[in-house]
Amino acid sequence: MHLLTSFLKDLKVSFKTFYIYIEIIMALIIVLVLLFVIPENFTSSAKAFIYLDPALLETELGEELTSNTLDEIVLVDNKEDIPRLMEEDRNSVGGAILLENGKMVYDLTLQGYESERFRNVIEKALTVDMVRQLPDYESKVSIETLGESSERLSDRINMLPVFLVINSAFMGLFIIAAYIFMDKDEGTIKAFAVTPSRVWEYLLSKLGIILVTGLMTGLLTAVLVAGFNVHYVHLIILLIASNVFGSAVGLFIASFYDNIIKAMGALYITIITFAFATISYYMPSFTPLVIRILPSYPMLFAFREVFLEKPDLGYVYTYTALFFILAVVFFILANERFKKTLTA
Amino acid sequence: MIKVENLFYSYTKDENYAVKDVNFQVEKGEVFGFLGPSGAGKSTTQGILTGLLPLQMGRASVAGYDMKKPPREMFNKIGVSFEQSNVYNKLTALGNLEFYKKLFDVPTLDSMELLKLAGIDHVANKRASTFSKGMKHRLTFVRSMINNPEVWFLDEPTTGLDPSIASQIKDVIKDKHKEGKTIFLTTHNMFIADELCDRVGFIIDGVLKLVDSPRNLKLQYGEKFVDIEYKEDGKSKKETLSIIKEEDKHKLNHIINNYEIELMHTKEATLEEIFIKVTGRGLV
Amino acid sequence: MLSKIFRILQRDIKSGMRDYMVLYIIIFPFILAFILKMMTTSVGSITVNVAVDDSIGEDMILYLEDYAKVETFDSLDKMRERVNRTDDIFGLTMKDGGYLVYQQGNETQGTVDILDLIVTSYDNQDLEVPIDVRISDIDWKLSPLKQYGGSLLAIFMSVLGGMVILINLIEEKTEKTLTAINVSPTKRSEFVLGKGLMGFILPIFHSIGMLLLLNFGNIDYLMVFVTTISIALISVIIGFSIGVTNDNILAGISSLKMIFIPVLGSIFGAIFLSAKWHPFLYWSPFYWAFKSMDAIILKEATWGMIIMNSGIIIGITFIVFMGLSKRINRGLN
Repeated sequence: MHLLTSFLKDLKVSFKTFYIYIEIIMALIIVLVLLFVIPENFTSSAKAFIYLDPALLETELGEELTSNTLDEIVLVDNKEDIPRLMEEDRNSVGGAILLENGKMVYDLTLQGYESERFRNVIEKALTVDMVRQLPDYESKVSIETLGESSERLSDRINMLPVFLVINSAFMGLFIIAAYIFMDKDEGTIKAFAVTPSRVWEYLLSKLGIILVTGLMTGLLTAVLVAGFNVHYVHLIILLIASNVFGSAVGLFIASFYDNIIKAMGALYITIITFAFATISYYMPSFTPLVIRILPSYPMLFAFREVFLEKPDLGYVYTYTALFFILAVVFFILANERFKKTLTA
Repeated sequence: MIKVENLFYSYTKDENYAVKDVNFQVEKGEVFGFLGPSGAGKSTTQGILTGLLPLQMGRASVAGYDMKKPPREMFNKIGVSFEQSNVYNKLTALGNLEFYKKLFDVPTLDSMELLKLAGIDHVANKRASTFSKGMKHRLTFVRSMINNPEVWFLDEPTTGLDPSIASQIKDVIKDKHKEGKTIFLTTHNMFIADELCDRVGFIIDGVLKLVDSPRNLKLQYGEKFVDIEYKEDGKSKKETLSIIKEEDKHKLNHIINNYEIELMHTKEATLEEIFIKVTGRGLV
Repeated sequence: MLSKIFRILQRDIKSGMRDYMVLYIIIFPFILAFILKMMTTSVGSITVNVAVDDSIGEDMILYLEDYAKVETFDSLDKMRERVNRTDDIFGLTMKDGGYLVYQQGNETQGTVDILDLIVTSYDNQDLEVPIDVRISDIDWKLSPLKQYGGSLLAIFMSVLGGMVILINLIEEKTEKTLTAINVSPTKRSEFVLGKGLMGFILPIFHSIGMLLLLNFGNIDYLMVFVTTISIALISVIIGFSIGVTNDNILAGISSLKMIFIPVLGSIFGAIFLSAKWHPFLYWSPFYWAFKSMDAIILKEATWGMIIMNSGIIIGITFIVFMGLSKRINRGLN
């Protein structure tokens, strides 16, 4: 009963500060950006400036190159122009297909920052068609897909998990601390402390506010951007679990400090550390252990699953359960600390 | 209702004590005051008795509950009015009281009645952020009564308030006293202590120097003098005469019998003067 | 006058040092720069990741390592488990005299073809290809990731200066020390300058420090200085306007979050949008700052360009300031 009273009061107060409105507006801005500025799929096209030896124009390759309509392949008349053109576009490569002593030569020019491995792969890739046509060529490679589905999300939808994790899940980390310190400054915590209500009721009520805000902004964004292509039940449960986890961590950190300014450093570092998982989310080949152990890493992928047609529910609910358990642990620890320090 | 034995408290958890070996008792229906300058240990003691600070060393009980680990139910029986107003600025006066009463498990008083008592019923639906300091303090004060507490803790109830508001608050305290409430108040204002308290404790540097009723203290430590202003040959004259010394008693008699008395009053020692005498230090 | 300004700055530094917050703000950008440095070195060498089990011989593993990042596992099951993890990695094992590649199915498009290519080429090493391949480069060692990452960080750090001021001012408002200063002989302008200095010193310190750490070679640091000053100016003004109009940190941080969007948005827009969309970013001083910083890193910047871009930034800043000055003045009362 006390919990409900506190929660309703906190809800009232947070609507009277601008905070909730700002969060909703921000979510709407993100939606607008996602829908109207971000293309549905990124097309990465690296340009290739190619010079073709005039002697090769009549060949099959020559005809293929001259009749191509791809933007990526640009034929140049002068081999010497290639370095200059490449300087203007640092993502491009250059190449000359020449005929030397009756033999075809692929003279590839890279920028210079590419790695040894990359060069080796390119070298092989250039000759693969030729190699495949040789009589002694043998390919003994077969491919098997392990995953139940090889669904890919559009690049736009792929961005939603990032937003959901950082804004709806981890926003709480910081804001909950701010709420508590605001109460401390106002002195209202002391008034609360001399009533029969318990510390955990106070903390839980704050958690509730963050949860309401997180759910509101998260669902608003998901609905407007992804429409019906979301498993909403799983999304809501995951949002709740990740949000309370973030808030519980925020409470725990805040319990070590007297005011928001002191706590901000630790909170800030924690949020940014968690945000690093985004790098690996976008660059799957770069996943050092130090990022894999961050809770935000599986959180990102769990959110991604709920947007797939056939989500891996085992994965989603394993981590949902884990976040809930961790949330409880951090909450208990925070409660113990706050019992001693809240009114000091 | 309140019992304190060998109470020690250190903010730095070492030998620097803010409260040193304090012992006292407050009976039911009594108004007990802690009188002392800032930093004396008044708020610290009150903090321990209201559960805001942990009981480090010694024993304390409030309304029958041991303050070592007070159960939450205890808070149904006490009310605390803070020196610094701590109301929710974003809620209205009425909203603040309506919210607060729901935190108690016992019958509560009517919010509008309390606001009337505080003289702020006309701004019941205004946000507390728009209130003056005095209004916020009155709201904090009546909020502490909402659960009709048996034991009422008041921390500097009239400090910083203008005389008319201070007077209103004093009247409320006196009424509650008549109702039989046990009141523990802290103050550095001797007039308040003198006017309201059944007994006062002088506390300084964490040590409780003595506990007695204001009357007994004045009788014990007071000098007995009479200030008299009279007219002699058309000119106003002023004298301070002891009513113990024989020659002064004769002179007093002589003046009363022979001259036109303009002003006369007994000059008892004030609590402040007694405080300085006993502790060697002032109240501010 | 100068002494009063420095006195204010000194208090801010002292107070900030006591709260580790400002310390974190000072150190943190270097941590970010360090991470970017690490990323650019490791990301550059990634082509494909492959996990092999014990059926793949040492020779083949050595061969594969010239083309891909190889992780070895001593059993098929462990290898399959590794493939099933969330990152992009393929599995390779021998089966029925041939090779079996395992994929999850959601790896980046085209990468499995690269692996196919590499594996097939191992068995066909001896085949003579009737083509010669020569690979050279134009000696440009700066990857786009490092280039854009560096500019982004440098500009982002300038915004942090504004954040410090914001926090500072809200703290003064909460503690009501602002009122105390208002009744001292300190002039309003002295106070503003004293508070604002931090918003310039930090970004300069950070930008130059970070660029040195990332080692872009002989770039013109004076140009960096000029660009940083101009972007710090608008950050300081934003920091002030948010800081003095909010008396609680929550609203202040929310307002700051809203500012981050145009900052990051205009920089990402400048990087990813094609040139025809760029006029839509002209309103943003951060766009111009990015263009300057990018040109400086590429060693293509001219003083004419820097001065023009900085002029645009200051012009936009001036307009913004005109709009906000009343607000700032009111808030400082």
